[in-house]
Amino acid sequence: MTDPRPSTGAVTYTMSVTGVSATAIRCIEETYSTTPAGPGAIPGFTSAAATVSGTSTLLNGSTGTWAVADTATTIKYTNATNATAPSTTTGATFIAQAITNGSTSNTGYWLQFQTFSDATCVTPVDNATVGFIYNTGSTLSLTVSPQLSFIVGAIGTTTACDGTTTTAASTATTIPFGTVTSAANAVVCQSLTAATNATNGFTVYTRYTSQPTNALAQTIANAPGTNAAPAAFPAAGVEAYGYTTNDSALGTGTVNRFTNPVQEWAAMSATNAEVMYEATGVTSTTFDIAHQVGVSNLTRPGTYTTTVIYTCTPIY
Amino acid sequence: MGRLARAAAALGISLPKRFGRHIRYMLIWIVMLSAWGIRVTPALAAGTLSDASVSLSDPQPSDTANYVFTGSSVDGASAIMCVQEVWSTSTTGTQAPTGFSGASGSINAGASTLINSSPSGWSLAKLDGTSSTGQNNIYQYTNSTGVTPSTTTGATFESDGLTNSSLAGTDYYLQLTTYGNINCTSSLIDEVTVTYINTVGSTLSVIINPTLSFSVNPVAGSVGCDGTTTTAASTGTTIPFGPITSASNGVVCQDLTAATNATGGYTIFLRYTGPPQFGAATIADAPGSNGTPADFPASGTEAYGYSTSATLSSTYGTPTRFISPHQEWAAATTSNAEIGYSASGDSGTTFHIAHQVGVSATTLAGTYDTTIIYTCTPTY
Repeated sequence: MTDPRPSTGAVTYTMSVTGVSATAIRCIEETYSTTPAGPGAIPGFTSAAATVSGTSTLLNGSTGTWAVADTATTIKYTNATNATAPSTTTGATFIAQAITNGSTSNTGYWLQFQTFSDATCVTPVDNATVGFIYNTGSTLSLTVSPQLSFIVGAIGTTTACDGTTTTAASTATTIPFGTVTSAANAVVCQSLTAATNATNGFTVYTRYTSQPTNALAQTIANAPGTNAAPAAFPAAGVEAYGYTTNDSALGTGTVNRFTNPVQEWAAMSATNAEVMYEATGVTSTTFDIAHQVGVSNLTRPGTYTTTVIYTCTPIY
Repeated sequence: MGRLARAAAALGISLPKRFGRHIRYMLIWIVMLSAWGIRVTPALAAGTLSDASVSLSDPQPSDTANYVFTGSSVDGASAIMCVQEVWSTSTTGTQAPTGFSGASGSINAGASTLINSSPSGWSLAKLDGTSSTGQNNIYQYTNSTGVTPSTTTGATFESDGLTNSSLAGTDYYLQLTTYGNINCTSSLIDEVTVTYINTVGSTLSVIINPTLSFSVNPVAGSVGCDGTTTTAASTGTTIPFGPITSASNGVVCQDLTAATNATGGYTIFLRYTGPPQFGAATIADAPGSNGTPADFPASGTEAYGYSTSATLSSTYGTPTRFISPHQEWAAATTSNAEIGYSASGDSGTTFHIAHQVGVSATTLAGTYDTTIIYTCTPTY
């Protein structure tokens, strides 16, 4: 059976037989029964609309035209003019189609298969009875939970990062520029690694709680670029703080705006701005986020601090 | 079959009596299947929201944050009577994330397009999940009238003022479910579970040291300086008037250049160790004072004093007292007197300090000297 599930329609039953006699067959009869030898309608079963496939190899070598006659339990396939014995005698098939299975599973039923040398199905040639059983399908199910991991990683000093070189090492929770003078800008990088099975991937955003601020509430100016339109970072001696990313396939705007044609920088803002994106779930992706600060001769002394917040949002 | 016929009649369908038995049965089944189809429509509409996410306004552990849920494929044909949110440690359980609290939270209906941005008729019940006493990690937002969402793509539902879990790096889950019943149990409409994670912020720090530069620079002879003309050149450490007679005063200038990042700028002071002295003889002080500078005496009058090109602070007098309405002069003193000022840090300002001396016919001959001391004091 192409489908053994109870009550399934349009099922194909393929009977395979060996030891086929060398006699011209003019009738092939299949009876589906609750017993191996006698009648007995299988509950829910019907072969009333059954057809016989022309690819049945038991018909190989036959001449004339075959015709099918069905009842709810029997298929008769006759050809009064066939004069040739089957050419396939081993593993020969007889394929009945468009049968509706019985409605009861786990109960033995029988297919009584017979061939006759006359079209009235009286003179037997071969026969065989085979059992079959309906079996309810098993519903397979599994639940895959949403998964997300997001790690902020440290990057050492004197390390190439986003087109520049770090001047101090970061940790997972600190971006310590150290002492910065107007003679040279400072660069600190962090790596962001995310993984999720979310259908639509994830976006990582960054923001700060405020501009870097010292004890006198003095601040360090923002870099001139924006997330949507990043720009070159000012030369040493100009006060600025900004960031960049090496993700060249962001999810909004010009996707490679930070990396093409050259690395560009943006001012941090207090609202989330995209720094990393994947359109589909990934096993692991890492991008580097560089932070750069420059000070002028007039940048007020002190220790400036702020908190940079990364938010990873998966989209299911 | 009589029961089926009566059921059809109850639905307002009368069966034609003269129709054959099979046709009547067929009509009965059509009626029953239609009625069944109507009854189960809400169940068939239940679905999983797509493109779903939750965005935290602040993902830092233990911080207060707004949770904005966004989802698409919203059933736009069913009236929502309950929106249930469960913040949980698992996809299906109800145990609250460690440290999480929804006790002070609320629904921002105006920002929630899932309920058409209207707070009308809604009320919020806060419940505790398993082993989550007092954490209020289950929100049931109900409305007995029901609201049919007009936004089915990118619909939002915002819960504000929640306290994040105290743990970073742990997956937590927001289970959002909508129902067509205020019991928040039956008539499921849409559902989805999304993950979120709390992340520690990175403390950014920049140290900028105080800076100060201050230099005393020479000014050549015969150059304009503070409204007069130098009669001799200075160096960075000398003010050599040379021989002076009562016929004409001597003028020597020095340039003072200062720069600092000090917030309050700087003040430059001048003093001398004493009047220019030769043995027991000294040169008299000019008549003006730093607080009230005055004209320098004409030649033939013994005097030593200084002037500045600076606009000063108001701490010691009128800021323009040395330069307006015209250049004035003051006697040097052994205590610091203001001669340069910047209200805020600057990257380099130069002041011209002129020293003038006059002698009388009775000023004793000799070489008089003293030491002029400039002090630059930044104010942070």
